[in-house]
Amino acid sequence: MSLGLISVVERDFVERGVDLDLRTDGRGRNDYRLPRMEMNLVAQSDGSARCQLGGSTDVLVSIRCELGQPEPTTGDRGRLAVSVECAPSASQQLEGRGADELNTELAEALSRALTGPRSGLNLRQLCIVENMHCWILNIDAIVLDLGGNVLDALLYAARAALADTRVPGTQVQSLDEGVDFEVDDDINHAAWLEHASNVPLCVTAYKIGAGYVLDATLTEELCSSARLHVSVNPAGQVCAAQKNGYGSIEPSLLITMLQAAKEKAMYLLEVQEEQIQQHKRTLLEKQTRGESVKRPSIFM
Amino acid sequence: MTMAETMSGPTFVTRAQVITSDTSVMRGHGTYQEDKAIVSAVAGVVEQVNKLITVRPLRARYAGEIGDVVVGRITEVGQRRWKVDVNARQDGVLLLSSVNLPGGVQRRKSESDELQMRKFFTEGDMLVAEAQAFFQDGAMSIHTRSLKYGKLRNGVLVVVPPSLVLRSRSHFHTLANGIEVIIGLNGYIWVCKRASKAPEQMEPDELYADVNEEIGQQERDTIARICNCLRGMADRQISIDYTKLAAAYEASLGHSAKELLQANVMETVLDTAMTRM
Repeated sequence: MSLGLISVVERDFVERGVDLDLRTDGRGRNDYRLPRMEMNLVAQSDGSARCQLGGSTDVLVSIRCELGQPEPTTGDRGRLAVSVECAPSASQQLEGRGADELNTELAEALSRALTGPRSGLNLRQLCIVENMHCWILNIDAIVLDLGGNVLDALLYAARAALADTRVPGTQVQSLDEGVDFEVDDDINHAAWLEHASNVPLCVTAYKIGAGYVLDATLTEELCSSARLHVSVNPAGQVCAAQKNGYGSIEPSLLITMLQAAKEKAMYLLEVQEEQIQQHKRTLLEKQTRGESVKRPSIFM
Repeated sequence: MTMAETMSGPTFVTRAQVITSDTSVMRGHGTYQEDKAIVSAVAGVVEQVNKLITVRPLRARYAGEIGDVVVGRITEVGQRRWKVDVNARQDGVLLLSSVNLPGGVQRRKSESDELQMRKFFTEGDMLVAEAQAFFQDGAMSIHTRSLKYGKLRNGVLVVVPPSLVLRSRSHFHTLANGIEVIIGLNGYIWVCKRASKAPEQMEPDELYADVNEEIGQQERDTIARICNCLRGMADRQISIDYTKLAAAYEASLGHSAKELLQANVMETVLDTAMTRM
């Protein structure tokens, strides 16, 4: 994920700044650009959120429920399908086929964080008829602008979008020739995604020189030799840690990076929880005022 | 009735918006004709000179003029030339014959110089130069044949939209704490610590060295502050020149450089700066 060039002296300037705990934008190594978030933006989806970091990194995540068939091995569960697309307007290098590699890398990372048991979601909720029909949550993300630390922003937006998602209600009827079901078009009968608050957030620590920073800018990303993506859930458990990049990380630095990322993730989870609660309050107010609330996306 | 005539102040148009149906005016850059009406092809500001109507786009790549001071980054080393990213539609060209080489300011470039071009500039290096000429295809030819120009060190790059940078007599300025700002007309701005040695006194090899000087905590803080001011001004579409930057810097002194990243802090800082001017 290296976009663009950097000179020897620029790299040296950034590295020495990290040593002094004073980065090029005045932040310390543990300072995080406060994420700005909006929810429920996309009319055609069942849940959506947009996250911006420091006015440059900008991502939009949309979730849509679709009817499908479960995997043969997990017949009693629904599925998640993740895709990420970087808009060519985000960076000159992403025009044409330039974004393909980055898209796959980000989709894979996001998918690893959200699918499987570490996401904390109850996938049994998405089952309609065992071994026959289930909901597939299509999680589609678009990167509108690149300002560094995209994966953190993606998971931040995805977590909020999951909290915003409602799965349409279904009625299963037993018929002579088997089972059939009907989807309810009333949004009030659609259920919030269970355990959406268990979903982890990701904080990435970037190794630069002999030190590390959190929430790197694009220039700092170019200077970093290794990255450590750390996913942490609200219970304070580290759900996943993945190292990327060509550099090595000393054991002592690894522990410091993990610790710093975990602390920051706990803080961000609190910040986001407040943002989500605020959104749900305004949604409830709208409903009590009798304003129209959108229907499940499958009926549009 | 033209919009430019009836309204005072700048008229903003969006793409595909009818500017005028008057048939007596001529259409210029950024416009096209559709059923006798002149329609804008870009989002920007309407400008009228006598009968000629043009639209200056708000967001566009840099279109240089001869004599412009530009800051660029080397993207490619080629045969007797470097390709330089100058934020324009095409990369600029820096010819080996357009740089000062160590040992004699105006000597002929030999074959050995050609073989060691990467010793002078290599991919990724930053430089400041002047637009010298334009090629047939519109690519810009730049030169560094003055000690004012050359390799950049000791600092960071800030990128702003080129339309915001105002032309002025000088584009090299020194702000507080010995921090120098080079405002490239192409929207690339270099903020650095001023070199302790003037280029005239440098050894030939030092001109192209890839080594930073020691930069202290306070100098770094000032650099960060100036960078954040520049980004804040660019976000709010405030035009950039030395006077405005200095005013913004002065107004920002009440806050730490880090606090300037918060949108509301930056808002008040720039409000005070612009009213003081």
